[in-house]
Amino acid sequence: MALVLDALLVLLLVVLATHLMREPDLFEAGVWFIAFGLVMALAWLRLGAPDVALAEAAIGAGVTGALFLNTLAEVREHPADCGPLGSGCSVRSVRSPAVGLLALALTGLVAGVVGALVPVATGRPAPDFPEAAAGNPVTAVLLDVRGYDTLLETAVLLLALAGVAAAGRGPQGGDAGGETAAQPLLMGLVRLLVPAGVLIAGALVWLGGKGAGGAFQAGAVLGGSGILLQLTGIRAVPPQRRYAWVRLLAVAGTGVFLGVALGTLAAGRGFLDYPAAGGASLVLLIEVGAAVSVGLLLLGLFEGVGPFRRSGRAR
Amino acid sequence: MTWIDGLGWGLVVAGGGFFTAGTVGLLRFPDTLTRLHALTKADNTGLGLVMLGLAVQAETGRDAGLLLLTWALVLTTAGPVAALLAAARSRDGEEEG
Repeated sequence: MALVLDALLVLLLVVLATHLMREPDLFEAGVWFIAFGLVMALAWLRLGAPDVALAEAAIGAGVTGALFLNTLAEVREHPADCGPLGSGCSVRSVRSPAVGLLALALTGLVAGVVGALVPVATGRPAPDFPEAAAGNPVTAVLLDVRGYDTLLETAVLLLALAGVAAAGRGPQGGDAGGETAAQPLLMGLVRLLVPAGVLIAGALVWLGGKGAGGAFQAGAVLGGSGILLQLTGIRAVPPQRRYAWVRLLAVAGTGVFLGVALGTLAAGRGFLDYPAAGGASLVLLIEVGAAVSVGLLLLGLFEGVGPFRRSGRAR
Repeated sequence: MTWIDGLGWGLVVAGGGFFTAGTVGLLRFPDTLTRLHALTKADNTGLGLVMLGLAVQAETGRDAGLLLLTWALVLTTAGPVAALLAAARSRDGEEEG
């Protein structure tokens, strides 16, 4: 019975991906992408990875979908980028046998690697790290066993934010929310959802130590709440270009991580070698910093793309 | 199979029927506004029935409460989202003439 469900899920994923790539209208392709992300989250659940499913649903389906559609709004405003008939932007598919062969080779490689792994992986219990600073094995791996990788990950996110802030549009005026802010339903919804979002983000960080959750999922929920506020034109989060403290908060994730790492180094232990007592608190501190940072990063990405104002391009 | 299981399964199947009705409405209704109507009403009722069916079979009261809370959250967002879509549609309709 479960096999039928899994087979249906895989079939649905393939169908969605095919539609997504063959769809000439970019807006519809964006919507297909959001649906694909949701079904992917279901697939992660079936694979027994609730942390990844949470991250996929929040970031892959939610925030990335919003970024796509926001970017499309700009593309539509520049008709020179669209097809010559003016019938909307069309994606030209690359019809070349070399690309097809490359895709086949890649699929074969992945299948071979997975096939070689499966006999080893089945029958083993979930990994348990008794000396790690967190009870949840995913968090333990992310922030303790492979903490250095996660530190570099947060630095990469920071670079992305810097790139978007440099090359993207500047802070727009309140005109983006002029129409929507007047709608009482949307304002009521935002009044309900944004505080709930902040609470849920805090719960995700706290519960991530023992169950499913973690910093990136919480950051995605925070970013989503910020994007919702941005869409209504409420200036709850000041534009990052103008206020230094917002930029400092965005750097906080990497900063706190690096601070803790250098602190353990200065205390005579290794780089990112948490002490046995208080290690969990350090991990929680890092996760809070990372969640705030990821949330501000996603909001900054959303602010940086999208339609430029008609009066002129951003500096 | 106790009567509670039967009740739960019956509710879930009924919820599935509502989802099917909503999908049929999405495919067959002529206009965006009528399609939104079908999606919002039928799908959310279907979701409520499915959640009720699962809550009846839940192991602890906390799980049942969480399921019903999820339904309440979806209801809270579905109404305003449908209204926003309808407003955007009427705005686009006016611009395109």
